[in-house]
Amino acid sequence: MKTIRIQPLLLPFLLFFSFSFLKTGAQTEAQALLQWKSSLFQPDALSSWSLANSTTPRTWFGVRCNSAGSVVQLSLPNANLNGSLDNLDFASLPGLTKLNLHYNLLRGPIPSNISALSKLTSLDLSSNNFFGYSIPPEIGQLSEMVDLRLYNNNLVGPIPYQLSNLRKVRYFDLGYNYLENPDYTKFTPLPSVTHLSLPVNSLTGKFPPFILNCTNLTYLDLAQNNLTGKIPNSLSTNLVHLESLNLTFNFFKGVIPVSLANLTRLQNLHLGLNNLTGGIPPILGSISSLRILELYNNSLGGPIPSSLGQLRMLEHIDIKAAELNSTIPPELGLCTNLNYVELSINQLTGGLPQSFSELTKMSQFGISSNLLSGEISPDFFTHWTELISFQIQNNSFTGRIPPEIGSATKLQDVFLFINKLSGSIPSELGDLAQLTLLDLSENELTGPISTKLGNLKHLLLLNFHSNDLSGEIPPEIGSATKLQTLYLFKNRLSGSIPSELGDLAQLTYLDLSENKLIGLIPTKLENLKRLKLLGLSSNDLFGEIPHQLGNLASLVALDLGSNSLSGPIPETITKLAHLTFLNLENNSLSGMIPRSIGSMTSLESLHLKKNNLTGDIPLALKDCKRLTVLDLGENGFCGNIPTWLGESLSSLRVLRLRSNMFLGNIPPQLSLLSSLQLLDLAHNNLSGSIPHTLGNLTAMATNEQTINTKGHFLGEELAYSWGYTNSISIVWKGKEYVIQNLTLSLMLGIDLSSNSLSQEIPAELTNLLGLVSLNLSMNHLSGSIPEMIGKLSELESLDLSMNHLSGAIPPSLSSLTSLSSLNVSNNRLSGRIPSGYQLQTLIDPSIYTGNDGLCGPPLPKCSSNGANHVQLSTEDGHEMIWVYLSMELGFVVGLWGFFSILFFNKSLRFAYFRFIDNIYDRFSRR
Amino acid sequence: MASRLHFVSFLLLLVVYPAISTNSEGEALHALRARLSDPTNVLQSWDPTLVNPCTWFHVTCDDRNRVIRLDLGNSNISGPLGPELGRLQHLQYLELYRNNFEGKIPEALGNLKSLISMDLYGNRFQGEIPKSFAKLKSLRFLRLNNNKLSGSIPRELATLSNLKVFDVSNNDLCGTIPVDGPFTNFPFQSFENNSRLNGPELQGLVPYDFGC
Repeated sequence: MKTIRIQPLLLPFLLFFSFSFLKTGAQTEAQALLQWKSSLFQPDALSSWSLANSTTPRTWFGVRCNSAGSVVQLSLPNANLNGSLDNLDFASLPGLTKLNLHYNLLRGPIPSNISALSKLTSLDLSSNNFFGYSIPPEIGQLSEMVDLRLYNNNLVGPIPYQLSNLRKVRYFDLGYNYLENPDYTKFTPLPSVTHLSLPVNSLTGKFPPFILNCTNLTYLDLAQNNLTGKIPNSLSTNLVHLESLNLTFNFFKGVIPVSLANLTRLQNLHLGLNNLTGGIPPILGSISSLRILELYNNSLGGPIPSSLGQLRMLEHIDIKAAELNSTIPPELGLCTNLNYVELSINQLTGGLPQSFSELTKMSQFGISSNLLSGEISPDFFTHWTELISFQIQNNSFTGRIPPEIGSATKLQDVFLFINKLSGSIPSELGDLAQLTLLDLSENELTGPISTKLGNLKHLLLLNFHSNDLSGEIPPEIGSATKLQTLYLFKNRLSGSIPSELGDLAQLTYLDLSENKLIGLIPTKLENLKRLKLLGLSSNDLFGEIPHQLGNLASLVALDLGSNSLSGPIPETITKLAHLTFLNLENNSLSGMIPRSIGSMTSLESLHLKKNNLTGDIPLALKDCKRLTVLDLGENGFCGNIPTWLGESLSSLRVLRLRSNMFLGNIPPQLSLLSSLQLLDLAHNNLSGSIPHTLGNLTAMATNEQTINTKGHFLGEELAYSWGYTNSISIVWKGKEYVIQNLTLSLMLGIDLSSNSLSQEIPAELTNLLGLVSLNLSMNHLSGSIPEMIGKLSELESLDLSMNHLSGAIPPSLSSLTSLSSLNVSNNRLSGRIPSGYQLQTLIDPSIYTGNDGLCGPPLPKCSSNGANHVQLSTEDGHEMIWVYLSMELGFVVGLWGFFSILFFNKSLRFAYFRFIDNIYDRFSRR
Repeated sequence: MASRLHFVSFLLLLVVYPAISTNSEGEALHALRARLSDPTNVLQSWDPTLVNPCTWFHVTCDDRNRVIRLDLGNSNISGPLGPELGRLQHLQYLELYRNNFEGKIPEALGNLKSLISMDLYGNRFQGEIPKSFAKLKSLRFLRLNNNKLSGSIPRELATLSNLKVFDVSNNDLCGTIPVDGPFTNFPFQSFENNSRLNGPELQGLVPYDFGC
């Protein structure tokens, strides 16, 4: 907008110049440049471009003129020029040999009249934004061109075949655009080009044929296109001068051509991220000039050839994720220039060769996620004085962490997690002043945590979880003041939590769960203003929950479960507006749920089970609209189950109110909880009937097991980055289990057992087609079992025992093919037990006893007057009938039985006679 | 309660493969699953990262968390069984009826010494009835009907004194039917529609598998 405003102001000047100075070329050039300047937005870099300054452009910034005063070079890289090239009159600059506008803010098209620059030898328009425009074919007319750079411009369309007319071009870089294949039939090879760079474009199909005849190439970069097919053999026979070859991130398939060994000058070979197969050709070891070898993310398979040890110039090797399955050849230790080794995510076995200690330039070493074993040689650390990153996690390394690790004083990242390392953590780690990330988790480390770790002033991550560490947490840790993550969970740490942890002002994640920590929760932790995660669960902490925890304003997850905490839930906790996950379960907390809980509007999971909490469910909870898991089980809560629960907490997936003293009716509004998967109201004093509306619980009404499989029911960060998940206790097939993750996501169940519910089981419950578990036992339910119970095809656990149910067991029960736990005992059921399919595998009579009228297997046989209930509901019914019939009749061995079979059965009869015939035939042949 | 997934440090770009942490019975079931095709996701809940398979759907454990039931009847599953099933030492009920299981019945099923019921009926099993079934001394129900089983009925099965129900009808069995032990009580329907099954064995007269 502003450029438009400026132009009219300049117009009088332009008119003035055009009449007064038309005579000389220099004046025309100056005029052309000024005209362009005037079209740019705030061209501060061109402040020297002014006729007041100088009437010729000779002294202007970025302009070079020849002795005749004519502009020969325009070099304005990185000058913040904002505008287009539309107003640059190339025809007025006929002497220009070099134009460099690299890294500006130029938009619009590259004008086709650029072809007027007939003397141009160097054109650099790279790193502008000619978005959506294509390369003008007219550039192909610039026959003096030696150096052409148009990279990083968002140019589109095919590469104009006319560019192949640039017979003198040596440096040709069109990378980082959206360019498509040129017309290969018209694109002739560029005989002079030595540097050809087309990465990150949209080239498709097989290897561009013209390139194979650019025989002077030393540098070829085709990375990140969509090229397919094989890497042509002629590449290595024709392009013998190649020093750098980059085909990364294409779709090249087939083998790595052995002919690459012909490229005797090759220094950089980048073939990563393709579909190459067939192993690493050992002959690559003969390319003695090689410095960089990248073959990562291919399905190469096979071994690391020991011949690679001949690559004495090799500095950088990356064969990550290539399905390699050998040992690491000791010969690699001969590549003494290696400073970067990345062999992670393969199936490499065996140990680290001792010869590696000779790789004294090693800076970054990664062999994680393999099957490597053996001990870590102390020599690595004493010899590798340049070591910055040491990543050997997710292998099977054993033995101690060598104390010599303290000699590698440049170390920043030490990842040893998920191995079988034992012994103590060397205190020498405290000498590594540059250490930033230290992860030793999931090993078998023992002994104490060194006090010297407090010296690590750059440490961001200290992760020792899931080891066997003992002793106290050293208060000195509080001196590692940059620490953001401190994970010590799953160890045997004892003593109290040092209050010095409150000095770690940057601390964001603190998890000390599953240790043997005792004592009070230090109030000084309230200083951790950045803390998002505080995990102290499964320790022996006692005393009250400090009300100061309410000052942890960033807290997202607070996990204090399974300790011996007592006293009330501090009301201050409800100030934590970001808190998503609150677990206080399995403590000795008393009192009521704070009435201010409604201010926790981020709350998704509330675990309060197994405490001594009392009172009712506070109305304020209604405002916790994101609540997904509400577990108040095993407390002393009383009062009614509020009707607003169903109306307001529409995200609830788990509602567990088990073992409290709730009374009154089950509110029919619970049926509004359309995401509810687990409803456990067992062991309360609920009365009245089971609401018919429960049949409308949407999430339970589907047997498509493709419902949400994210059973953590938590945000991605909490679940995946922090490893947190919701765990829920359920009674399943008569036993209590804790379920989480996948199982929790799939479990659909209702448990209303041990209440005083009466009247009939609503037939609507059989609409809950996804139900896996249904327990209505120990109530006063009467009437019959719903006839359509067989619709609950996913049901595995069904308990209706200890009610007053009467009538026959519906035959449809026999179609529940997943049913493995059934109990209908102690009711008033009668008639014959249905047979067939799954029911014939439920043969424990105790699941039917206490029903005076029931008969048939596995209970005693039905009397004759009970036989009118015989159900032959399935095709397999005959089996059971026949078992018992056969037992009753006492079928006997011998001819009687034999002939009776023949008599009854045509096919057997036929077979028998054929059998006799066979015998006859055999005898007669003899 | 909050517990942890297999922890992956959020700072790392490196992939850590999920480890199988389930017990040997879980591993056996997981290996079984790997062989099978499960178009209706019946086995979706079989999470190998759990300590034991007791909360997997279609799996039931006893009080000591040992698998005692595998209920996969009528589940639209296809594929072969493998010997790993034989590792479920405490299995009492193997209910695989009415699916599309195929291939041979593994001999290793003879190791299921606690088995009370084996229902493999209504599948596409081929090959012979394993002689190893004679080791299943607790077996009371053995239904192999409606498959493509061939060969003879192993005479050794006559030693299964607890066997109450036996059904091999609708297969391609041959030879003669044992007449000893529990076989005295099985009705002819248990054997029908095996075109080459040659009637009850005539003791002492001809070899058992004569003509098979």
